[in-house]
Amino acid sequence: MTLLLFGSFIFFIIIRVPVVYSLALSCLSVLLWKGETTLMLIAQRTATSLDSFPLLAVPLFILMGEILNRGGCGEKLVAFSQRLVGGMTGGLAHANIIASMFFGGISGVATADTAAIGSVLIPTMIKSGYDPKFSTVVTVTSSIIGIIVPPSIDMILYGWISGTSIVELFAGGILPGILVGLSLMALSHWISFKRGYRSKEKFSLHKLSKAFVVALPALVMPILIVGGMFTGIFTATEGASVAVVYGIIISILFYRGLRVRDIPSLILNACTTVGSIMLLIAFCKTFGWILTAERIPHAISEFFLSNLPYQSLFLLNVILLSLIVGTFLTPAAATIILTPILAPVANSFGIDPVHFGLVLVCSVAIGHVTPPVALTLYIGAGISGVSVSELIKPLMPFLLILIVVTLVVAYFPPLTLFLPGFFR
Amino acid sequence: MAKKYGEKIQQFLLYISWSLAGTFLVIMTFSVFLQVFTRYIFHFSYSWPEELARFSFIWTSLTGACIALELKKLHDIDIVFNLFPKALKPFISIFSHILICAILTVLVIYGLQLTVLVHPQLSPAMEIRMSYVYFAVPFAAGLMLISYICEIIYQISDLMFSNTKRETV
Repeated sequence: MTLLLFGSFIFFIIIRVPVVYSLALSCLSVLLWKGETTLMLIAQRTATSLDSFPLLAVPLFILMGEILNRGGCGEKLVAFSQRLVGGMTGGLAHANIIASMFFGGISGVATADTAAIGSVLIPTMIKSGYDPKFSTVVTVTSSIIGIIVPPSIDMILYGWISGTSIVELFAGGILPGILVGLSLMALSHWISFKRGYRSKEKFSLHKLSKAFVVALPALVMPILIVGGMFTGIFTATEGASVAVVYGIIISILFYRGLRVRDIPSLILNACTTVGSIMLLIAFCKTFGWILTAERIPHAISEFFLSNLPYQSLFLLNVILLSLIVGTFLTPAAATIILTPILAPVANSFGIDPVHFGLVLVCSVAIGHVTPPVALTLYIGAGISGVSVSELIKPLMPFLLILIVVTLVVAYFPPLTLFLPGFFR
Repeated sequence: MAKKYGEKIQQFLLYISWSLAGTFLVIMTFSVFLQVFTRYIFHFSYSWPEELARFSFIWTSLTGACIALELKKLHDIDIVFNLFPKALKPFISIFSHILICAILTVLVIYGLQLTVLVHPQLSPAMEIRMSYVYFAVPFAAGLMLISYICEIIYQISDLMFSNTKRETV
């Protein structure tokens, strides 16, 4: 039965059935094979799996990413980061990463991050003499921070499927996100130093404070959302709705980047993303139900516990598997499919669910920049006009850094568990 | 001929799902916001906004999926598919579309049965019929089914057209 489930899934993928329907069809074939007559359960699970208040945070954060992207928040954050670190060697690369960290702290979607920061900074970097390939690679790899620092769509999905507290997951993501940012900055500093990307700009406190005032309404946002959630004023979903309303207000009134007539197309974009993720979620309950009924996670944990009873080896396998799956699926799809299989196994190994969630999310997040399926890489390449195949070589050192950070997250649990400790 | 009408139908489906998904997304956002707002400003909360938000979410998600389909944003993996011989590709493609239609038909038929079954039930807070909520499943699956049937018809007509062309040459 396990063979039928995964075999048919791979078969459907090969004949180019969209991933969502491959999942649904493989579930259907298992049910038909078992002679299940109550197919109404599929329809029922489709509706009931979407009937969840915590999950509502996902469309809200997607909507917010769109609003910020169109509303000009990205530009202001870039301007502020440029004044902050622009004077250093490779200043614009640093500004790019810093801006991604700020933006990631507001939006939960990496693609919105690439579009918002990249459309401003990639042309500026190329104009200032940076290599277009290097500029693109810095932009796309730093957008991954958006998935790791709170708020994060993929963590909400993991938390919802595995039953882990979303606030704790968000708290756990802060330090790894900063670590990713710092290590990317270190690498780009070294590359910029070697290639001689000196900055002409002098650091000026006056300009910095000016840019700070302009960026302040946007900078307040992460504190508003994350702070509100951590102090228990509101849940992730409620925080997201407050942030959407606040985002609309500052984009229309303060930054004036968002016009009322842009709203329908903004909503169209948001709905497209929401729909493609949520259709997967809709079938995910049927999938999870089959996994449980067939005791597949149970079989995997028994196999590991009797043959390879080492936590560290299991985590390494998880990272490898997620990296491979992540190259073919989007991070959200990879999270939705891998979580119900692996989270119970991790539980039987006694791995903290928050820690495991961070390991899983960090490693599937890398899939965002690894072709053939790499959404942010394609967006970045679209902005800079460099072809994706030319980006592979300059991408390698950055990819290596990201994998090293993921390993650190996996084998140094205090990094992820220190902050959530305050909420337990 | 078939393509012209088919594209009109798909355009129409896009508009329906766009307006529905958009409307429900806006309703959803503001009802969640209303709940937080009333709780912190007036220190009381209604029970209906939460339910309204959840029900709108179901509709947004499923009709949003229709938009994703119309805009070809449903993600598939084509690297293996591209390795198939060129003559075989249209047939495989039609086959995969028929498979998708099968799962969608299951959702439409059993979704409708479910809708009829839950029709007498009322939701706890707003006391609306649960069938309004569950109807999203067969409705969205139906829209997607129509769109996929259009696609199959294009591909078959393309296949027939290119065959006749080859014979005349």
